[in-house]
Amino acid sequence: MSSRDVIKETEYHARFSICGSRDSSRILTGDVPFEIIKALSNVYPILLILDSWLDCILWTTGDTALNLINLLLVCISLKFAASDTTGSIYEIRNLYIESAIFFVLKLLSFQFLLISSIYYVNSVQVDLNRFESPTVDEIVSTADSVVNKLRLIHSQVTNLIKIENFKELILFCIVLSPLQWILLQFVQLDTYLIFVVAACSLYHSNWIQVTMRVIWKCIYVRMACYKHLKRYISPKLKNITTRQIWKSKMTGRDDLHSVTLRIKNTANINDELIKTLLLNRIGTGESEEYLENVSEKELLQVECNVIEFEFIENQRKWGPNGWMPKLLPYEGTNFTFSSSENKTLYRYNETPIIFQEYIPPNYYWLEDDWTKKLWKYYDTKWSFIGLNDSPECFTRSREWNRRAYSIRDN
Amino acid sequence: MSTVRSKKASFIRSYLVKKYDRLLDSILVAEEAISSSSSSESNGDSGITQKELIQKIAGSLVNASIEKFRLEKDDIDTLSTDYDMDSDSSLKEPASEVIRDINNEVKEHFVDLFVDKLISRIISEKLPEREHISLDQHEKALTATLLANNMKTMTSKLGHMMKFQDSVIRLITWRNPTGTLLSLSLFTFICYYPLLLMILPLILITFGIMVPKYLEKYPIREVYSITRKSYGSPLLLRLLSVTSPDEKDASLQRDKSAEFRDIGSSALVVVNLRDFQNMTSSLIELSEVNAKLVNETLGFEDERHTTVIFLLCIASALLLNLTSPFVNWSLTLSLSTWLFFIMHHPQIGPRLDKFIIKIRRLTSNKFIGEVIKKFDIILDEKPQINSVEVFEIYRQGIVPGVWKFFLYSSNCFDPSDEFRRAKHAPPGVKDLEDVKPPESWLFDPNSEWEIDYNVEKWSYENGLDPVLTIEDEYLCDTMFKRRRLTRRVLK
Repeated sequence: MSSRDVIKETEYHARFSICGSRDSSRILTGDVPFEIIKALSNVYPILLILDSWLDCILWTTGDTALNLINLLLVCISLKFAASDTTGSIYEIRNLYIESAIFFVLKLLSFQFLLISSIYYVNSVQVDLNRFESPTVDEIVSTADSVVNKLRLIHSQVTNLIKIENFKELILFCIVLSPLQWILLQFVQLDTYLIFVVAACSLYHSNWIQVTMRVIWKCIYVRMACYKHLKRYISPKLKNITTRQIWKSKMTGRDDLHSVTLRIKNTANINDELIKTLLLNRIGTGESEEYLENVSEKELLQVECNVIEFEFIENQRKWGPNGWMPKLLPYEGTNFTFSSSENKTLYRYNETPIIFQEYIPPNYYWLEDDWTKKLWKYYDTKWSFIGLNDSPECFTRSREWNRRAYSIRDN
Repeated sequence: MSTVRSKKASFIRSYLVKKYDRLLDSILVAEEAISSSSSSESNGDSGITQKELIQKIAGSLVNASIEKFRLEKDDIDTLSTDYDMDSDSSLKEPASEVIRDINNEVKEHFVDLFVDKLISRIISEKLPEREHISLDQHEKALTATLLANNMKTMTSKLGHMMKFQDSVIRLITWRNPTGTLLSLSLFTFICYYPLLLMILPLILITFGIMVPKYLEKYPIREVYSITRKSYGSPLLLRLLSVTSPDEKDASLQRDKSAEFRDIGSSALVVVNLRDFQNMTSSLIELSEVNAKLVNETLGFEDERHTTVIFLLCIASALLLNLTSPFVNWSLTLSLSTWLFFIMHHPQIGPRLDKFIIKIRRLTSNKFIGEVIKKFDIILDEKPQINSVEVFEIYRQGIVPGVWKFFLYSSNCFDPSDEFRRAKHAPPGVKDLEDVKPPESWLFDPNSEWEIDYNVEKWSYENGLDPVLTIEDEYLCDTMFKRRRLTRRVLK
């Protein structure tokens, strides 16, 4: 009991480091020319306004309700700007009260937005005059935050138009334009406009961000996305069957190592002897030491063909189930066959355990079992992480190697 | 040697335990028998006499102490027998320590045991059960420990509920002005697209509960801006700010929120307890208001008032039914809600109140002196009529045939009467004037006590022994004779 207490007392936790990646503010704390300081203080109000505007777009303000109300006002004023049917098609029972109210509302919301933005700019100026003047640090950190936010938006926009091929982009536009035209036949212009504006401005809200992330967890969504994008992400692998592998291996020139063994003809020639001799020969390169005292006549030449097979086993981590052979549908199969001939990978729908059963009659396995290398761990997009499993790793692969040989008839 | 000795010791111990168990059992059984017999005797009487109460308390005290002793003994037994199996002297100390620990932690407190026993003793009859959805479910018996535990957990869990209440109040009172505006807009949307009511719970579950939980687990947003002075303020917030009319309240509010952040866990328990107390008292208030509404305002207490309310309800229901197709409900509902909230804005509300008072003052001058007489409702409902009975009982004097007045009672006091058998006088009064009508009834002032001459009938209806003799209007037995008096009562 007491020993446990002692352990608790001596438990020591490391602290999070506070040194961020941003240390630009530190650069400016030294000697700064007066002109720069003046320029900074002049630009500060603009920075502040820009920052708060970016805050609105990126939903980093504390008051999300205010953001939503602003969005609502924008939408209402858009409705005012885009619709030309105000108050004409209302039913008689409304006695035009409703339409009048909405007309006033639309007008007011547009004006309110205008006045509100002017007020904000003014209030920033007033506050700047009221408070004590800002330090260089404050100005730089504000600029820093503005730059960071702009960088985020920039990266997202470039991500959106990630299609590097220019042809693809044009094709994309050509496909989308008729779609948009068809959509506009069914949806009114103002509704469409409002929807687009609302979608764009809500994009960075936590709700949409989290929703997108959660939806992205769904396998069908990923399949739908990768069906189109697959060719940009990973090259499509061809399928290969057991027979094809054997065929390619037996006919391929690169794969076929021919090894000539010289065995004393008095010796009892059997599989085991040939196996050990081959293994020695391939392993060390010098296998005939013990034949030195033997004359050439007594020697029997045995020519062997050796083929090496390389499979790659792939696995994916499935939450609480842990590592499973099941991969995502677009990721390929549990085992891929790696061809040394043209350095390409093939999808193999069976396992090496099944493969080994289909050995041709004149071939024999050199090793007793497949030699498996260590697992390599990757993230969910198959980029290499390391050799140890961690919460960062979601996929892993390892090589299976085995050799077969056949004796050439002479 | 030592193993032999320990074996012997354990054997003796087990023998003693068995012997004492039998003794304890016999005590319990005897005690149970006494309590059950006493309860069956007292079944006729609704209350419990003091003697019985003392008996029961003593019984439960004995019961609780036996149980307590047993629980402790069992644990020591099991532990010590475990220890006997490997009789290594080095293990002796930790084992006894463990025993002490368990006794301190696991055992129910003696007082709790005692209170539980006492409750089950005093209320021996079966309690009525509440309705449950599943028929197999039964009400758990009342135990002091569970009640206390529930109170403890409830007070610690109350924080979330109170937070929710806080946020609702903040919305209603415009202390979170943007939130109020947003909820009003949402309400307007619901008014125009009632389908949203079906969708809204789903949105609330996903965006209100699941998204924040997701963000707790996987924070996605970096903190861009280092905290600095906030420059500028949105026009909307400036317009809707609550501060100006009662600045004090707002500052008080701010203080409160600051306190909540700094508060320690021990103080939080006290805060929760306080909230619990206030919640229960407001619950009581609510139920009182509800009872008043149901029993008085709507319960024909003031008959005219309730009748007017009833007629108004029916009339407005009819009117609504007729006019509703011609009303734009979406607009009416949303507009009225907006108006209601705007009128209760802390800046507008007080001004509006002043204005209303001013108008009232102006208009009320005109109506002074005009007494509104309410002749619109006719209250001519027939009262409920019933009759009450009382027995006038006489006692046989020393000389046969001479009867002395005994008392007026609702009990017939025949030979099979309980009080008669117990040789007690029945509850009753000596003077007829002291007989009062039943609760909430009154004697018909136009009637008097009447003697029931149909003795055969009332004695038969009261299930009295037909052997009793009838003399005039009296029904006689050996010691007493009685006659039945009846009177009309009204309600």
